[in-house]
Amino acid sequence: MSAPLLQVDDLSRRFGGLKAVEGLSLHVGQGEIVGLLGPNGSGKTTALNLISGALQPDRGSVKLDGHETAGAPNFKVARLGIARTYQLVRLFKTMSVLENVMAGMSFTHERRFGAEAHTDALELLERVGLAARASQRAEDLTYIDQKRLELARCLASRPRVLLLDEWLAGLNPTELLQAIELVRSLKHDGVSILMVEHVLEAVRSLCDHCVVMNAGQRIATGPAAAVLADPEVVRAYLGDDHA
Amino acid sequence: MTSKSRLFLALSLAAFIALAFAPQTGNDYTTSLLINVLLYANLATAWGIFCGTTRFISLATVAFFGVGCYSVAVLSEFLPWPAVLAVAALLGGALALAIGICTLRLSGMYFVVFSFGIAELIRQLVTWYESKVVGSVGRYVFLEITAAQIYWQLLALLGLLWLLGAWLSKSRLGFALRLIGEDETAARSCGINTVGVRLAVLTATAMFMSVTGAIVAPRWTYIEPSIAFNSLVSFQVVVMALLGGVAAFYGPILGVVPLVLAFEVLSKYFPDHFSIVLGAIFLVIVYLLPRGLLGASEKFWRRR
Repeated sequence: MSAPLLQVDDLSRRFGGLKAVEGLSLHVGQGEIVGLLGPNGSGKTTALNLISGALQPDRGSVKLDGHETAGAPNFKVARLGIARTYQLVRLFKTMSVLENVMAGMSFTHERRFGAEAHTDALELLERVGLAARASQRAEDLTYIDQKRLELARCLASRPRVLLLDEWLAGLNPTELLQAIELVRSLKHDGVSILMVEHVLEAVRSLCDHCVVMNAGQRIATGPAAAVLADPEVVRAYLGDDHA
Repeated sequence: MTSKSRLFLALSLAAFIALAFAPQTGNDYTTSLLINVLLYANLATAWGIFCGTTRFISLATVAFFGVGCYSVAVLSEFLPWPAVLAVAALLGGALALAIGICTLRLSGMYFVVFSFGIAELIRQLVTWYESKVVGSVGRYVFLEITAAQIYWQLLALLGLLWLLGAWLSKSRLGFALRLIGEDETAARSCGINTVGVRLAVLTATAMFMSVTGAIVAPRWTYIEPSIAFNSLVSFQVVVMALLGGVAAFYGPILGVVPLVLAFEVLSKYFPDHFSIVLGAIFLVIVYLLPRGLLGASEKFWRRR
């Protein structure tokens, strides 16, 4: 077996006395969807920030296709092909939906700009169901559409690894089903995904394997069903009484 | 290039050619008035390109401008004129780079206050140096440069600035700058080297401000820190740019023309109430024209 596309080893970061992430290791293979689970405050978002270069780790390594990216600034990691969404959607609010998508493709490894970017961006909007809104201002979209747009912006960079930070949170049941289908279709296209997620239904149906964190450390790893039944995981989420 | 942008460039070129004949067709007064218009057109356009787009509201305009003035006052006896302009540009750029590096983690109000503070600091430092070390208050600038020559230089500088603005509005660098103004974190995760873009454009526009200061310095014959580093200039540039609108590089100039003319009248008839009126104009702009004349005219055309 060849080395996984994204290999994270012994990743650690403290904030003062708090060990936000401590010795985290995980890997995402080509075309895999990996779930990153854990209760609130367990360090999932910090882990994504470390992988995407928004934060610098105290120690540990992040390898994308064998190349070390730990320590590189955010924008360089993005250029290498690691794209991310944010827990609270971050868009270029007063710019058009189309420009938001073009922003994703203008500065990364397979960059496109001008007329070519225009065509590509429209295609992507078609795919996430926003083609009709291409000329609207991003901030005028509904919440789910804003999430779709942020995803389209990530896809525009043709990412090798996509980091989703609770991308499915806050959706109603119908929207959730649509969103799950969309993520599944990405996997079908060969996009590799690391997703922080609380919606267990989505985790069960999408993830090839899961990593569970608690208090900054990995406490379990394996297929979704096995991991969610693990007593230590149940204890981390629900407390001792339920284990 | 689209037919629309070709038309825009053709109109700009025609306007620049027409303006080039102004010193010969007008009298001394009109030339002097137009120098003032061009002076602020340069400063406000340069301000708009960086500050308007990124929404980092800078009150350090006059620091760059003053550095340009003093480059002339100190160096014009020793160096040929083009070299003086080059030195002014380099010093202004270096200052901007330093300010840019110091303010990388500042935004909003903190950036505004820092930029104002640095301009005042430089004024005080120059004042101190001149009185303690040189032993004088101001300096004389004796150069054989006519008003018309100053006018043409300012016009040429504005032409360059116009090209920079037009290029930025089409280029990836300009796109990156707009994205930084919208959301710097998201811009970074799109692969934009936000630090590099900020520093590059701030430095480039500051160089234009310094050269503007250098070009007009001979006009005054006598300069001192309170003239060259007058903070009112920074405020006026902000007011003008916001009146015109900063959504496009040609917006600020729409605010420059009416306000320079208005200030001309005001300083003649109400010299003592000048700053009150400036403040009132600013309030009116913020309340009634939040996106400037540019935004208002777009709204007007869309409604028709």
